[in-house]
Amino acid sequence: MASQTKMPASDRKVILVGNPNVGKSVLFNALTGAYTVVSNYPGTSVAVARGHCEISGQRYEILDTPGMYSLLPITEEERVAREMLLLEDAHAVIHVLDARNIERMLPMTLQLIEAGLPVILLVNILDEAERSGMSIDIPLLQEKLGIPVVGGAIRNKRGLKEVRRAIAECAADDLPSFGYSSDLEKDIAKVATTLTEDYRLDLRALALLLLQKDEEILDLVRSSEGDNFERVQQAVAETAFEHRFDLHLRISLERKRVCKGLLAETVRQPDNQRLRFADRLSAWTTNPWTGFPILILVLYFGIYQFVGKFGAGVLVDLCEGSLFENYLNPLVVSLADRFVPWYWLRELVVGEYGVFTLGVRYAVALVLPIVGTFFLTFSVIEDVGYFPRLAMLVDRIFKKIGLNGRAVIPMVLGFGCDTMATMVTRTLETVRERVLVTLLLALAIPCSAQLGVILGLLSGVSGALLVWTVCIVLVFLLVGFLSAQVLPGERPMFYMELPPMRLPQFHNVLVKTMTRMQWYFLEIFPLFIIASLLLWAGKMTGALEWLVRGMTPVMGLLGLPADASAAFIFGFFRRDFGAAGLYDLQEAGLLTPVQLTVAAVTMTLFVPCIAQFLMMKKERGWKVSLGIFLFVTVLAFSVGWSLNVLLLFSGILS
Amino acid sequence: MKCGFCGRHFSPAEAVEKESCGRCLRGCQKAYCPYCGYGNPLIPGFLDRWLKNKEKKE
Repeated sequence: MASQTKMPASDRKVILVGNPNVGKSVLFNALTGAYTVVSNYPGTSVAVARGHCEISGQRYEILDTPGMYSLLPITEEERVAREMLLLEDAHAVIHVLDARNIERMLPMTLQLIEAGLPVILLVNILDEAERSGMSIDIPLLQEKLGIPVVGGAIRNKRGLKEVRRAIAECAADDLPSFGYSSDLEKDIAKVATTLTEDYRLDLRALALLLLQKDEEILDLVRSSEGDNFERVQQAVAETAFEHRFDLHLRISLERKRVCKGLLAETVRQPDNQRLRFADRLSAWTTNPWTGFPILILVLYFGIYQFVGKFGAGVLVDLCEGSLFENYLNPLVVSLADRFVPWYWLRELVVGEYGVFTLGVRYAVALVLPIVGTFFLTFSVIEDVGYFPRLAMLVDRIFKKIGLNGRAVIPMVLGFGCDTMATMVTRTLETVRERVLVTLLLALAIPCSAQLGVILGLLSGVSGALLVWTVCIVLVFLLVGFLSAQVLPGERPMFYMELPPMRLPQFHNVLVKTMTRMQWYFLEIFPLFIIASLLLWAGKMTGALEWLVRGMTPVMGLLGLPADASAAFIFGFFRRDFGAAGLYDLQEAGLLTPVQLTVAAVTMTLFVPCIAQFLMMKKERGWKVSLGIFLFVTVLAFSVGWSLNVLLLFSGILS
Repeated sequence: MKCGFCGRHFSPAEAVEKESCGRCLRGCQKAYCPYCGYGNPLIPGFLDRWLKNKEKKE
């Protein structure tokens, strides 16, 4: 991977690295001026800019790398950036970071120093940091880090002169070393001492990357070490086995600890009274004592009031009650009566299960307003940066049921589409977690459309929503907890960097909401039409009646009318279609509050849609997916039956 | 593009190429963050052009 050639002294290279959007390109332009070349890095589609500058009579080639978050690459851009650090024999590596996020970005400076690179640290955007009341003691930071540190705001040319001077004076001698805990140091030494060849990267950095399972570094070591590689591999495997899943986390936490020490007296934030509201809110959202009340507030105002009351109430009344019932349906029905002489065709277009009266009406007038308001709430919450904090908050609860906060991602995705979320379970670390999350997704995470319609459905009946919520949460926790006891496996740790919280940006929210609505509508509209076609065909051939008759005893056990069968049958193909069917039954006054609640709970817990089942099969195999399918079906109807008995016996909702 | 969950930047083309369940009729309309796996909506062309025009004007 890395060639070991040295570049001539006359062609000194300066590499700019750092996270995206920290001002690397601004610095690049400020150093190089107008004459630059942008080309794809060899063998990749990643663009790299090169330019030249002259400082004190010495010519330098400046290379602007793609954004990177760590020396351990995940994306192609990061791979290219690291390769440049390894291949290009840099006279200086300028790590540009955003002063406002120095705590998050400084660990990469440590990584660069550890790698033995001639690092210059540029603390950029200092003007904005100072405006928010933050102060950074640059000379003290330089003393503590042991490398040249420049503070500046390159956009205003502040610090540019100092950067140029640092480049001219840069020397890679005597790079400092930052000590980690004795355990980790022993592990690093154990791997590093097995390496016998010369590498451009420092052996300590190499050992850390090997311990973090960096495939490219592993290949490099394999090709360089030859027969000795087995020894290296054994040392890595032994250390990894001793620490199992938490090695990566340990290294990250150690770097954090070192950075915290470095910044302890160097960075002064505004005092508590002047602490930014966003920072305080961020702390509240992750603290269990304040986080759960905030979560309840978000759910109450965002979901119950806005989606349930406004979306499913006001908007659906407007679209379905006024527009379709008063204008569009009568118009289309009268046109069909006038121009279509055949009964079967009239039924197909405007009948009980007609393409227009059912398919179009469900998709446009019932589901779209509800899902639209849900997506709007979702986009606001997402843009604020609440989701990663929610992950931290529920990490404790998830741990109790054998999961970690990382499982929140598929769960959150599940509220958008369970099928996709089932696929994303592959990002979880252990098989145990993947199976558990797949089960919980299939059982107790309704997709956005179903959630919206059910919330809308239940919001109008006093107490129904509370009973539904309690049932679903209890089933979720109980099944999760019991499954965790049954399924053996590791319980991995969870750690993630929290991005800053901010006010929602109008453009972002609008674009994300419109994007999601467009995607959803174009996706479901043909499916709703197909579903109404199938229902129509079932009605015309008698197959639907036969199916409904078959389901009637099950509906009877749940205390539901036979008409609810159709909603359940099609809920399997699209849960939102089934939920919309329940909405229709309730609007027609065919369901009592108890029946409505029982139907909603059963359908929420009911077998996942066919697409999700197929995805489960793909991800987990036939055995596990069929097991989950049977378990979920039996449990859904058992809970529905028990709830019906309980509600009738206790008189709640009667 | 910026991930709505972890806040990191990534190239949507690379993300979509790697992750797609293939169950949607119109193909995958999401970009999955390579850092955290979160599904970010892929902005349709007309909205993207509108945004870029707006940015240019600003």
